[in-house]
Amino acid sequence: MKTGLQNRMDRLFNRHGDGRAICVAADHGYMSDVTPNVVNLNATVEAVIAGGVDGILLAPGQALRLAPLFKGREGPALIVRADWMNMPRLGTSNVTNSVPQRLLINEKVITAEQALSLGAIAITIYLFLGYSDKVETIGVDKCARFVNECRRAGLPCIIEPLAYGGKVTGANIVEILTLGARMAVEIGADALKIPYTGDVDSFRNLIDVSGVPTLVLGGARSDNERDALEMYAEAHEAGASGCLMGRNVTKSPDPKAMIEQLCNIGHQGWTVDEALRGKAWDFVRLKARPALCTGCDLCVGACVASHGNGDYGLDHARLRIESGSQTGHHKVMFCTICKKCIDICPTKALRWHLDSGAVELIPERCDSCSKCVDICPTHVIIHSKGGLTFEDGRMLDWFPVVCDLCGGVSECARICPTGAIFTAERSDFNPRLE
Amino acid sequence: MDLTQRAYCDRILRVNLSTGSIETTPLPADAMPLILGGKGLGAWLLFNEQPAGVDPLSPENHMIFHTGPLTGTTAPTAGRFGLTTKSPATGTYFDAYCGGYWGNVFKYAGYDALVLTGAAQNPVMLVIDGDRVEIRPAENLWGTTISVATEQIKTELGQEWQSLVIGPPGESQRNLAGIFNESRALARGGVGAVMGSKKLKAIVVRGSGGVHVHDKKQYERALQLAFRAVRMSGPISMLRREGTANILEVINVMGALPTRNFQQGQFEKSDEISGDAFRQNSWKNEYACFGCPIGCGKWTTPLEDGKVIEGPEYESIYALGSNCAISNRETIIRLNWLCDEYGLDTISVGGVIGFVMEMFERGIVSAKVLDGIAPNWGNAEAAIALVEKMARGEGCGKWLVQGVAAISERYPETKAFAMQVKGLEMPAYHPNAAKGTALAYAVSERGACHLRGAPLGEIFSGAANPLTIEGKPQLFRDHQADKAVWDSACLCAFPGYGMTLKELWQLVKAATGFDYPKVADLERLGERISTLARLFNVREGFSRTADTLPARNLTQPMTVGSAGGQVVDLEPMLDEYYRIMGWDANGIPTQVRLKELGIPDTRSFLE
Repeated sequence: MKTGLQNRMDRLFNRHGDGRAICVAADHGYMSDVTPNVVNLNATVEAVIAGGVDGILLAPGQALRLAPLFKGREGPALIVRADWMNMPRLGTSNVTNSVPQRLLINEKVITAEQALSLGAIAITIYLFLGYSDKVETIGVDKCARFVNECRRAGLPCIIEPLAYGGKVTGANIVEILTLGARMAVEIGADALKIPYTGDVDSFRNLIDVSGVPTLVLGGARSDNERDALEMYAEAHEAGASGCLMGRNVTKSPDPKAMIEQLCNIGHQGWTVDEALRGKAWDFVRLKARPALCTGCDLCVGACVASHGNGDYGLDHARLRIESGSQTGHHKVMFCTICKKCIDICPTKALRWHLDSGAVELIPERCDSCSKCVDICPTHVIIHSKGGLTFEDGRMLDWFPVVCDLCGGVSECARICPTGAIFTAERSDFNPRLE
Repeated sequence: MDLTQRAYCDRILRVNLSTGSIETTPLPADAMPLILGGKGLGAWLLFNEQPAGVDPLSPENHMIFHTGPLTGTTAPTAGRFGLTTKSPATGTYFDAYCGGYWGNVFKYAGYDALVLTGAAQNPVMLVIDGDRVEIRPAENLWGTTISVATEQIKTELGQEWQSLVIGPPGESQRNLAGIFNESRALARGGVGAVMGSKKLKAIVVRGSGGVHVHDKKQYERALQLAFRAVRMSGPISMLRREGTANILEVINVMGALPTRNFQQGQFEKSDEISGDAFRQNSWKNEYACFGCPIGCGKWTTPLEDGKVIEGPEYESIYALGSNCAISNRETIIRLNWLCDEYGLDTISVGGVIGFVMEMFERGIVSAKVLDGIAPNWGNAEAAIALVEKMARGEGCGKWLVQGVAAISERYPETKAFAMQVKGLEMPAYHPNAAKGTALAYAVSERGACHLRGAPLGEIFSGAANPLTIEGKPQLFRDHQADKAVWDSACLCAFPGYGMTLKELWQLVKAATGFDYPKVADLERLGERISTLARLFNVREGFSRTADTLPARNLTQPMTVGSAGGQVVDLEPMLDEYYRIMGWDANGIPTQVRLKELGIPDTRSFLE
């Protein structure tokens, strides 16, 4: 059965001939409540397949139901979840929150042979760490039995070490995960699915210590899609063989795009920024969804910190959060690149920046007339703190400070925790033709 | 060492309301790496500058408002600030923390801390406009409620001003009075009464300065890691979704949801007051404090008469809900509104109402004593009437608003079920169902408190079996040190459901440039600060005898629920905890341990 094992490992990790696999976990429906991301599992699976996913992790029943989507040898690899646990039920899934030891349940639900008959290319099982020796003993025993079954069936066994118990702290989680990775391999894991350790160096060490293909998992979904991509990019840099991400993909508004972005990082070696912009955006603009704004002012703080002398504060920001008409509502006031300031400037001191497409001031032409400040519909053009003195001795008491879109990667949009302000493509725009 | 290049302002604003003197002094530079800021700075200044035995409501009591090195930056929840003083409710060292939008603006005004002493003759407000600081008459604000005072200040001074105000109970120096920045509060321990005793209605602030961190590049990288840890955390996504109330159902399952003045640990109507129930029926949209990527605050849909609150929090839902056997969400919102509007602490108010309900049911108090109000269990009208009386200081409200300990002194037969420690009403985790938390309630420097390192993870996150005492002193010690670091850096506890001390350490190191080679160095700093707070209490005469719990926890088990039959075996935990902390059997820190922790001048501390 050794051939079968090798074939299946290749099928999962070598679709692109680079030893890497971008995979999606969509087995959440039977462990937590049926969250919206898995209600219409058919559509989600179709979307990620269209995005070029290399493997999909499903619970056994869904694997049976969705088998037609896996289309023989051309399709993605089916990975079957072979055990069940109750942890996500209580809405608790990280280091500081995990199911109390006496309530933790972890049950085997399928045998390797059954998984094989579903068309599985691999199976995944958990290994819980950080609770107590007793819990770990049970986990090690369970994993060892699975590994044996898998060996007989020629089925790759992916062990998923999770450090969740009460012994896990910020100071020791890296150590526990690294040890867990090695334990899984010693038991006989063919590959690992494991949380990111938080930094490239420690994850590289974990991968070195384990010595088998390692897939980084995603964890809870971030509203900022950049987080998942950055995390994967770092894991990739550390030597990961791919990812097995669930909620960050399935809960994304566009799972297909998310997979394409991950594939471009994993298989094409793109940077996060390149991946985020799929096709290269020549120019960007800021957009807002005010209903999502909580008023936290992080965007304003990030704007101030990335300009001027770099100190943190709220003064002289190029955008503003205002109270809305109803309690708890907010207005996001930012440069909408409406061009009114450029049009009204009597001395042509304002123009489009040729690279960023933002409004740019040519200080030499400015005479501090304030017309741009007055006409700005969102009132985000402000007076500078100090003035300027030119070589010819001419002085400006102040000059208008305008949003520069941070040269294309806007800090306000990057830090916004809810996506209330975000960067979008500015199409049909050429500053040279305007 | 230039502290202004290390994320501090290096200025303490000192105002004496008796003499009207206003001056600034630098931070204690040598001590800063040992105490960091926030809680550490407050404990340091209070211990060093306030002699033993000061009456908390006298002009000699210090009110020390403090920020931390991260305050005002874009670190998660960097708007937070604290207050350290001596509490009239407990007579102990007392630190309280508050989110909102005051702390960062105070730092932009150019100060790390404000030390208030003395007392004005007539009502005043302190106006801090960057470098311009003045004490102004506030006769026109005296007697106004929180929202009225806040609005009036904004109208008179401008929308960009941030204010801290007290309500009528604070003015009357009541033990349950808090200090409010709009919907957020320094709520507990009667800190509002201390402010009232100084005839200080409000502290308003405006500032346009900035915070300069030691290593900007490293700090930005640390920020990225911190935010990612917060954004990619399941528990934090639950906080965003259902607020702090998201844990209510789990706590109830574990038998730790205090019900009917702690007679039970499970509430039969918990599903009506769960985070999900509030989300489905009562909440409209999110509220976030300054710099908070979570947004656990929730604005309610208006009540019949248009009243809206930001809340209720889990603690308020327990206190005003299950603890009084009240399951009607509108009633809880109404009670919470009364507390917010008049400036009262919801936890303690709920503690009092539950306590009075039990006294009434047992026939210890009659409706006659309570101005005709008959508060049987779950009686919403009676609860509202009692809170109105407490808020307005009318009739029985005058003595009820002094808190459970004071009421229990009037009725000594109630001592066994007066659910308070050192004069502070208990928060929302039943000690009988969570032994590590019970230990924290007993020894925390400010009385029964869940935020001074109580290992709540034993209840909802598998940190240990909550019903056993084994290993709990160590677990509590670790959490206490950890929490003291968060309070000294001055961040909210909630990013810590995604971040760990490691991410905080990366931020603190980059911001201050202080020499903390390992995460463990910060743990040591945390223990040092908790010990400083303990030392203050020791000097005030507190020792082992005060580290205790009511008989309901120690000897009277609940008959039903997941924690039925459980009592707290406190003494062995105390022995073990004192030993781990390097304190003697009476709970006094030993000279040896003080030296190990690098607490200077240890001899003068204990003389």
